[in-house]
Amino acid sequence: MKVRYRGEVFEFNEPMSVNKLLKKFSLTRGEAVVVRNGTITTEDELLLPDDDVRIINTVSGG
Amino acid sequence: MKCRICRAKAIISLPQHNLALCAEHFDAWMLKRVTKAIEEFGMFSKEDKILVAVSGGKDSLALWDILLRLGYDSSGLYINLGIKEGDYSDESERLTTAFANRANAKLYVVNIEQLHGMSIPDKAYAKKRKTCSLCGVTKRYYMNKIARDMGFDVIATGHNLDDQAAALLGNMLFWKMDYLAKGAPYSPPMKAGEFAKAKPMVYCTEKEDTVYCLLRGIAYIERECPYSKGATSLRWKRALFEMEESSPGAKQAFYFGYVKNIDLFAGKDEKEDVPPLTCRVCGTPSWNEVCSFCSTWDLHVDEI
Repeated sequence: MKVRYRGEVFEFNEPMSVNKLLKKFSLTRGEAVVVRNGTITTEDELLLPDDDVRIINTVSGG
Repeated sequence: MKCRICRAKAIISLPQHNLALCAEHFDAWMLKRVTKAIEEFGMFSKEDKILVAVSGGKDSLALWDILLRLGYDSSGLYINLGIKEGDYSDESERLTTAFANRANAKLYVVNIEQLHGMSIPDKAYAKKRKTCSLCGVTKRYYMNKIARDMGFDVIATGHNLDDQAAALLGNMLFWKMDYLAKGAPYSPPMKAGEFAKAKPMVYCTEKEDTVYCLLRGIAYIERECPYSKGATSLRWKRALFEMEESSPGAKQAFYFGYVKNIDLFAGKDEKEDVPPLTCRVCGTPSWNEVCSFCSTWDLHVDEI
């Protein structure tokens, strides 16, 4: 799956839950919104190898 | 995961509320959360004119959108600080203007570089001070000035639960008693001519505001302010996110427990609440003969 986060693109070949994906980026669920193929999704959702995923950081500062 | 209300597919999980919601019911829930804050803390009524300080970020734009939808008389104020890195200030202004045009809402824009001949970062460099300190002083001055000149009753900002809890954590760690006395979501005017300050998004989190903007199609600046790198508030937020991960609801209990008991801190700060003097340059309440804004920008009477 193609995962876009902070302007970079990452590739993962195995299915994984949104929760597991967030852990790979050391993100807690409160710090990110995950959009799967254009739809906002919850942490239990299973992401598949051909998905297009975007991680949006929720934290604002300054 | 299914929506607790209608069993449609949920788009957000809210474990702190033991809840998952679909897009439709999340939208309704957000309006209720903001209404709850407004009513619980007596922030303002439909007769009041509200000036919303908008930064182009998700929280302030979500706030303004919700206030307009709830029927409040609200206008926006964007202060362009002249931050050039990543075109930050101008891009934020474009996004705010686009929102105001789409919503057919009034937006006031103050351009610091045009008014003072220098951007905030350039002035900070010239004064050998941190950019953030000038930012706060300048924004507060213009929020009060526009509110006063245009006849507003209250200034509303998009501070959310994560902002408030992080500020509270920092203030408690270092026992900043003057700040602990003043951390409520609503502050009445200090004295005649001053404005009430309201934070109607205080029951909403960063994540909820993000999802709200995505669902409403509100474009906002996703990048953080380039000068916020290393800010302590971000460290406190991170600590609270970690805590909330294993103890959902702890953040809300922390902040609103403090609000409920805020009287414990009343009268504990060493400074007076109300500035005793009047700035001899601009006439606003001041702790010194010349207020911090006029002193920062080296202003004289004939320049105001």
